[in-house]
Amino acid sequence: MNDADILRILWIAAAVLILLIGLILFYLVERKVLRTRYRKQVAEAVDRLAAPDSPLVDYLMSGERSRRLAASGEGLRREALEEALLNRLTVSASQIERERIYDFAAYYFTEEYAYMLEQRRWSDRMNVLLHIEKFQMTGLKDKIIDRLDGLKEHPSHDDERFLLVRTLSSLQAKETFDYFDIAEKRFSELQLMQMLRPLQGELLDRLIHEFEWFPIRIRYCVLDTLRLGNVRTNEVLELLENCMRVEDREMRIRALKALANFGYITPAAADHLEARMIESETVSWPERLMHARLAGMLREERFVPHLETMMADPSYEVRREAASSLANYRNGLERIGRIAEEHPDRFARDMAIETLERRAYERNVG
Amino acid sequence: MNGTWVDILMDAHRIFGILIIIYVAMSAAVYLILTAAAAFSLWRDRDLSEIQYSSVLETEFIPPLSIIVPAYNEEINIVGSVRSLLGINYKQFEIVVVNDGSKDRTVEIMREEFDMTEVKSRVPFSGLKKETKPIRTVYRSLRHPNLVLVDKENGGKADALNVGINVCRYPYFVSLDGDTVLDPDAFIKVVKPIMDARPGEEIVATGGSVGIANGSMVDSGHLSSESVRLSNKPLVVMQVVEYLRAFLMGRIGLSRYNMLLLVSGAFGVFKKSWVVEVGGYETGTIGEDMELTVRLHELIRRKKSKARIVYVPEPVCWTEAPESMTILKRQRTRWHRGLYESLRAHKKMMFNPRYGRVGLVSMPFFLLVELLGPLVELLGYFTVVFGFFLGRINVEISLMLALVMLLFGSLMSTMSVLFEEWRFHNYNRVSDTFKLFFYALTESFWYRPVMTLWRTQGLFQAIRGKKHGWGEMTRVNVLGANKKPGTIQGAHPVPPEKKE
Repeated sequence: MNDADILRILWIAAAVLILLIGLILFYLVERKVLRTRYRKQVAEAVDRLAAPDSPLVDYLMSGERSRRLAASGEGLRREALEEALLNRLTVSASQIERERIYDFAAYYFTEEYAYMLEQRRWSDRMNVLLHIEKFQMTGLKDKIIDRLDGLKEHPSHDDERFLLVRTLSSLQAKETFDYFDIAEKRFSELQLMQMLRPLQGELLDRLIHEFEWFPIRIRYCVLDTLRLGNVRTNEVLELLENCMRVEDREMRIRALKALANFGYITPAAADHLEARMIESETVSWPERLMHARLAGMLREERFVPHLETMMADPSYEVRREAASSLANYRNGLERIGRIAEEHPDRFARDMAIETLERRAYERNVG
Repeated sequence: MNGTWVDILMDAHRIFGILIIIYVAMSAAVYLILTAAAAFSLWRDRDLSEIQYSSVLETEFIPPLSIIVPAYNEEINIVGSVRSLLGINYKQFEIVVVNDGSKDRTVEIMREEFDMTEVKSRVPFSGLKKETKPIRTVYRSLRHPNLVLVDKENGGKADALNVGINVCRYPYFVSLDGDTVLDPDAFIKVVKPIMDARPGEEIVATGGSVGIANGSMVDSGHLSSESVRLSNKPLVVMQVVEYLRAFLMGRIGLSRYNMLLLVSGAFGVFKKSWVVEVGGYETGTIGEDMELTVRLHELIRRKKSKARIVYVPEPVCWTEAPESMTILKRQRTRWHRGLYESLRAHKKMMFNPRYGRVGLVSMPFFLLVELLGPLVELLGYFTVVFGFFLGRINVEISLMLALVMLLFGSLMSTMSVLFEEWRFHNYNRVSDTFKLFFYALTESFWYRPVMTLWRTQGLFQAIRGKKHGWGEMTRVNVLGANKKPGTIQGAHPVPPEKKE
């Protein structure tokens, strides 16, 4: 290769690079200009819609769709409306207003959202799902199911799969249950919880009744979901008490945690708890911690000696929990005061002092 | 006699030139691959709505976090930092401030401000098998039960972090520099990969982008995307471009293939059990964050685990960039020494197939491109000058080659500005875009040569074994002197080559 050739190649390379940089710069500036202008228009429209005399506010107050509303803000209607409605949902929104917002969204957005669910652009599809969830657009349920069934098995679609299933569950679709098997294989625990948590009413009952049939990870998450949802029925109590006796340690811990939140157990279960507290040496510390917490919620005199023993537990977390449980009891602080002075174990004494200090401070402040 | 000498010199020069050309071509290829990988990741997520976080925030499922804040002589900032941390958008967290034997009133101020009382019982101990300097006292705030202050004897930042790891309660901890300004949703953003980890896939660490706060309005310790402004100072704008390139191209590209070697010390989330297993932070190094990340990789490989170290492209925290050449120089030479130390400490991983991609790709990448890059570049300049005297330089070709390399570097920088626009649009004004672009073009003429020189100096300092002084290690407020913008310093416009 001679100099002239090299030079020619270099010229071509330089030209290509300049062209590329120019193209990118053009694209960048165009995108930026358009976006800035668009965002500004949307922001203005949102402001207009939020004004007290806007047709949208009229509708939300009265429930009547005026002609003025249908005509307002054509063009960027959807994005501006979406934002205005989302703002209202987060800021205030009484139940009636919520219903009206959902009605409105169903009326105006269904068609467009259905179309956008089929878009090629991933972020468009994700954004629309987030909105469907926020606006509770039940009318799009079948579309979502179609989309889910059409989704390839490959893990690269799991982000989308998760959002689809979560949306389905927040729309209270019974079909959510059909996806438990793939969910247990593909979703993280926190994703499973997000999937289970929205389920209410009949679907929640189904979670409890069909508990045994679910895959193990789903079962764990159901227990946590019941706890977080503060579900208090006899069925739940029965389920939790059964779970606190199973072989599986993880299951027991989660059941105990949920029971502590429940705040009540049957006498038979209390006997079982006491028996477990007695054999605490064979029990792992997270489970001991849950025993202490549950005993603190139950406030039955028979747990007191066990909690006092737990104040000298090798694990700091257990000691702390035992102390705060004891403090819940009648004369709890006096008991702790005695421990602070008399307990043979130094750790127990230290924990007692720390608890007393904290309680004293809380009394002063509160 | 004279003739043979000249011949040898000419030959040496020629061979050297060829080597440099090969080097340049290979590093250009690496950058192209990284850019492609990053583009691929970011393209999918472009314009994703922010409400994805709001729905996560409302849930109770986010894993609790222990935030470890090492503090050394921080009496001025510490209260403000802790206050802004107490105000973050997150459901469950604890803050562990570790006072590293400050000589000022850090502890007293903390105690007064937050009603802290001594914790008498033995505090939880995570089982880190590493000597730490003794703890004097542990305090807990009565007003904020989730605020803990550990007073210990001075042992450096890494030692303070180790103590924090021992004391904290939750399975994930965050390491934070004292002067980091956070995005209000920072924690949600970095924790998201942990929440989304598939069954069987463990997330060992996550980190996010670090942005430059100079010129922006920081509101009570937080900086949200709407308030980001581009500084007017050339040196700062240059660093903005540099950070964008490092984070948006380098880290995303590497993270995609689980080859990320650095979770920034300014802000990173780590799984405690793994960090404990590898023995915590190494004391006495400069780049303790990179060093830890490398050891985590080593453990992942050794266990043949599917665990991952993930990078989140979102800017999660902001740091103040040096505005003066002196401090910038100190920062850069320091980073380079840190890089050298980390690579040296793990040289057995280098080119070692047992460590998979990390050993075969990212370690060599850091060695050849990052660590030695500046040196090669300088040598390149010398080769040209030398060649000129030998009369072996075709001026025209040299200039063209220089132009091509310069354009290539600019292309990379422009791409990173584009990536920023796709995903975050933090710099909203068109004039900002032009400014970033223009500076990206001028980089090769002033910023880059200076960086090359400093980094080479850092390399020599490291080889000579310069020890880092005390203050230098622990003072977290030397204008962000503890943050690395990462790895990529832009494509190398290595000097024009002589003709063949």
